[in-house]
Amino acid sequence: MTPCPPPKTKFSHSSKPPAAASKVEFIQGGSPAEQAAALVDKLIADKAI
Amino acid sequence: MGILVYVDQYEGVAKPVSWEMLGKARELAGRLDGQVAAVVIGQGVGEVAQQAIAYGADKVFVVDGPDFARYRNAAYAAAFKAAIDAAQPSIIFAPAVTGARDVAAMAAAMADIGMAAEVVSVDLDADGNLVAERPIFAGAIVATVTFKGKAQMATVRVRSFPMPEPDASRTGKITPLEVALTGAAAAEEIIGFESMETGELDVQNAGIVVAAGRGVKGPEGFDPIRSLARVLGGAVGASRAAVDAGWIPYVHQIGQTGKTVRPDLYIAAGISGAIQHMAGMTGSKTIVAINKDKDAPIFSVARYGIVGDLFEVVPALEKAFRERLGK
Repeated sequence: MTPCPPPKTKFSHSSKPPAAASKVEFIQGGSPAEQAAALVDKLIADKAI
Repeated sequence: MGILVYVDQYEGVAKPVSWEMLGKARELAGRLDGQVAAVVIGQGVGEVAQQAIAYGADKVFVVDGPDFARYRNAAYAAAFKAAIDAAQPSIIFAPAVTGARDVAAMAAAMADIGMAAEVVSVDLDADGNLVAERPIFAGAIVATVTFKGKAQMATVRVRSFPMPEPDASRTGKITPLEVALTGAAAAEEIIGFESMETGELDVQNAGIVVAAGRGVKGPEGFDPIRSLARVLGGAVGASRAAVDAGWIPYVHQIGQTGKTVRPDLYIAAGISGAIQHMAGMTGSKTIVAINKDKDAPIFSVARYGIVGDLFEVVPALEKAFRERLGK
């Protein structure tokens, strides 16, 4: 049997991915239209769009 | 100490990830006091080679000819290997996309080079060696990878690095490479080619993705999703459940068995958030989730959430975006 060649890469270490900056913020209350408007305002304020 | 970048092109148009990698290569080469080379494989790809110089390459190896008109794994890997032999780089980047990630793996094996796959971050250690980070176990853990040997290769996920500005005044050298195909590379012939492209914006390159899953209940349920994506100038994505149901083509599928996306804004509507789906989208900068179930796992990775019926919320969102963005 041909021996497996030595690996050319090495996992030097592993870590948890950085946690989300903040937990989910639910847009609550009001009609779907009011919730949508509030969400769009937040996305614009965050410069997400 | 040089860096070689694989410029992936389709019908004479380079995929943006190619330029993202060139921008990062330019930055690293500055720290290494080295040069950046690129390789372009295809037929009639001279224009792409010129663009590679504008985006940061000092030298471009071009493998151009009818044998390379369409992607073929063995032929492209032979061409990539020829460019590696010619450039003798210490670091090699290739895109982690369909039609390139396998070419990179095959070329790495042929050249006996260590390769880290699906990398999202790279840096140099104090000795100038490449240190790469890649998500593993569906993104639950980030592995840091180092390399043994003179050359180090990484396949890079799209949008891992910022898009550089092209500089049309840059100059560089374009070097044609003759590659004689042998063995499997010469034995195969493409007798037909049918594109699965839908004409819509590719989810991998989009800055905004509006995605939906089982919650849309049928193919017509994607109509409001497409409509919102159009208003935002974004792409339409889908969970595997929606693709498996035949509601939308596979090219839209995001997740472990689909595409990995990293948009600025990801809107998930009617997607519960199976770990296989989240493996493909948690790199998004801002995630919005819309779901009837307040306990749906998708909310655990979202920045904003709305508990509600997507058929009410998505049209309302479209209207609100139209009003705010003046569209």
